[in-house]
Amino acid sequence: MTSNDKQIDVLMRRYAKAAPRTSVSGHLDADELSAFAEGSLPPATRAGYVSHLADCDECRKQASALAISSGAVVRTEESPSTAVEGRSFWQVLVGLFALPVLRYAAFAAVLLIVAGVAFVALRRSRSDSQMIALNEQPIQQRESAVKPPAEIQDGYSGNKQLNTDSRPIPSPQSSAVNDQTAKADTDTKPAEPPATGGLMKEAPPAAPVTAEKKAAQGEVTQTAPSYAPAPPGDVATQKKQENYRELQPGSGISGPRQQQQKLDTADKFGQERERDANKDVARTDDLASKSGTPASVAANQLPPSPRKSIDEKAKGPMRNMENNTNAINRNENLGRVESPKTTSTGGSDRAATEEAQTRSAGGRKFRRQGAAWVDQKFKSSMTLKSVSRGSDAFHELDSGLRSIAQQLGGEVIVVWKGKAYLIK
Amino acid sequence: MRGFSSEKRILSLTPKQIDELILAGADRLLARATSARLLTPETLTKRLRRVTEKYVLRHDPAAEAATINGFLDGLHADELCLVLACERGDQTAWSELFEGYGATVRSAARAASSSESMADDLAQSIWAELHGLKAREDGTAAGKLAYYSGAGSLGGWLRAVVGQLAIDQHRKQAKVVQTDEDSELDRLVLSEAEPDGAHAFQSASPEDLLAGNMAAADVEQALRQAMAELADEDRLLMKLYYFEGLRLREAGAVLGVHEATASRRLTRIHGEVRQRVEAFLMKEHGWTKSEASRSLAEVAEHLQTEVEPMLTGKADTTFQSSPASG
Repeated sequence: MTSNDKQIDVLMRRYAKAAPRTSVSGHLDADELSAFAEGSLPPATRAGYVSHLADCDECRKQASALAISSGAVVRTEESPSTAVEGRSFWQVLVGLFALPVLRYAAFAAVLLIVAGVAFVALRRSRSDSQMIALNEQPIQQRESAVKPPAEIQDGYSGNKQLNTDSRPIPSPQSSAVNDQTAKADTDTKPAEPPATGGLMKEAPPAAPVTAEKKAAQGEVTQTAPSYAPAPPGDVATQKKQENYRELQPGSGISGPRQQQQKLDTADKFGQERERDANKDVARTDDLASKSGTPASVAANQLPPSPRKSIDEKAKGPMRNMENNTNAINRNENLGRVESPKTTSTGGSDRAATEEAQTRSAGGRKFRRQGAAWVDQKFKSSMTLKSVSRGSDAFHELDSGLRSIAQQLGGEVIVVWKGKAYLIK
Repeated sequence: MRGFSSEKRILSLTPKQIDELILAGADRLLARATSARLLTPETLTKRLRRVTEKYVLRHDPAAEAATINGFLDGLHADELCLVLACERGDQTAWSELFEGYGATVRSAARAASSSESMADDLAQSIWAELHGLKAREDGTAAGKLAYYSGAGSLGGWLRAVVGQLAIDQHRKQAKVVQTDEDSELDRLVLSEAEPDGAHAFQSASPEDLLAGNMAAADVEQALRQAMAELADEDRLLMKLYYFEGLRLREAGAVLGVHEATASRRLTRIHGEVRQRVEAFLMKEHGWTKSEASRSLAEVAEHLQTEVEPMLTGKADTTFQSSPASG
């Protein structure tokens, strides 16, 4: 109420208190009063009654008392909602864009804009933090990838890297190495080359890889060019390692470690990374000290491992961690156990000549001495009984003895039932 | 209403057309009623004709058929049928009326009476009035039920009947026993006899009279004129708010509008009254608008200081400010 309204209000209150009560001659009857109080009169009739009530104090008193007691107050309290419902669509639409509504809509719009900007800003900061977390993994890879040159020298990281890449990249150098390896395997273990060939075919289905792991491998592949260049002397060795990496799809140490790194929380990330790096270094040093073999030699002894890793891959992706741990241990063992065997692969010829000078026949071993095959059980103190092939004495010999003589050919000294025979 | 003058009607509908409309309306009313109570449309037409004449054709002689049909369709069918059945002497209907509306009558009698015993007497007399102690020419009881139209609810009508009967009884008692303790109605009659409202601004003391009788007379006259020039709806709202002392919510209910609507309307009326009062003062005294406004403000400010003694029921005060002093 404004000051002007207040002035009139004060004047009217005083005037109402002092003004004379007025009454007109005719009064409304009970039916008219109740009908008016309940608002059930036609407009023209009601207008006439309003005029009368404005001037007749008695009827006004009764009408107001009836209206209040008949619940008209409640009805009029509810009327605004019904009035809104009764409005047409156009009226509602116009009402929505009315100035009194728009002034609130302006505040609402400002609030919405502020909320939207805050949401976008927060979302960006969150995505930035995610990007930082994601970018740290390639960095981690780079850190671990820088290690290979050192690890290559230790003869350990070659095995690890063999397990990282799954796609074979054919190259003349790698094929040459493969040929050499295949040849060595053929001599010692003839059944292995087919197994290696089978590995190439069976690897994709036998090694189911999760999307994350694939992504991690992809990242490793992409970050490979950023590796620090290997020392000039190790280029050939590194290429060999790449070939072995091609031969061993899906089995690797860095893969699971990436997976672990992804699972790590942000606060543990740095600690884990540091711990892993320390572990790698310690493991590498340990292996290096145990094996004491050059990386190149160790790499040549690796062909048996792919099959083992494939077999373990077949166990399923759920055992990746265990498999990889086993793979690490196995690789370590291979490095240790097989290294003496492979110290002289240059000397595979030496082994062949060794084998050529010793032969076995009839369950006995014979050593080549000059032009004759000498039974290892033969002692110089024994007296030799000379028997010529085709003679009667030869035919009188035991069939087993004759068989040995025929197998070896030439001069053969055989110890048979405590006696030494020289078969010519 | 007895006070309305009968004017020459300009009917848009012929009497026959009106009868047809009423007969059709009676059919619809019986169809709407839960129980027809053995009533026929023909028995209803006489009552409906009278009601239509009273509420529609008297105030709007040129009413169209839609207006008449709308009014007839708005009647309280069940209650009108119950009342008509009671008039016909249907005891079942009387029982229903008594059971259904006995509490309403008692409540209204209690509200209109100063004591419980008077309320009981009033309620008993109401039922007697409704039934009718005398008989009409056709043999039916001449009770007050014959005045129920069905336009309002039967409960509201009964409350109004109780209220009017209470006033009548009070008037009768006032005439018989002339005591100093006159009722408010008696004072109302006395106030009607006074020539104008100038007495309202009588000062409590001769000093007050000397100081502000001119201003009091001017402002009173200006307010009376301004009130008289207001529209009927606005004047009724002002009377309900200032004279009857109703809250805005209640005043709005009497007028059939929401409290907010009544508030806005009252603010507008304040402006109109102010303009009219200032215009009156400018015309009467030759003042400028600013002088009239300043004088009005001073009078109101002076009255504002007297609000507290007025509210505590102390001696009545009056306008003491003078335009000349401002």
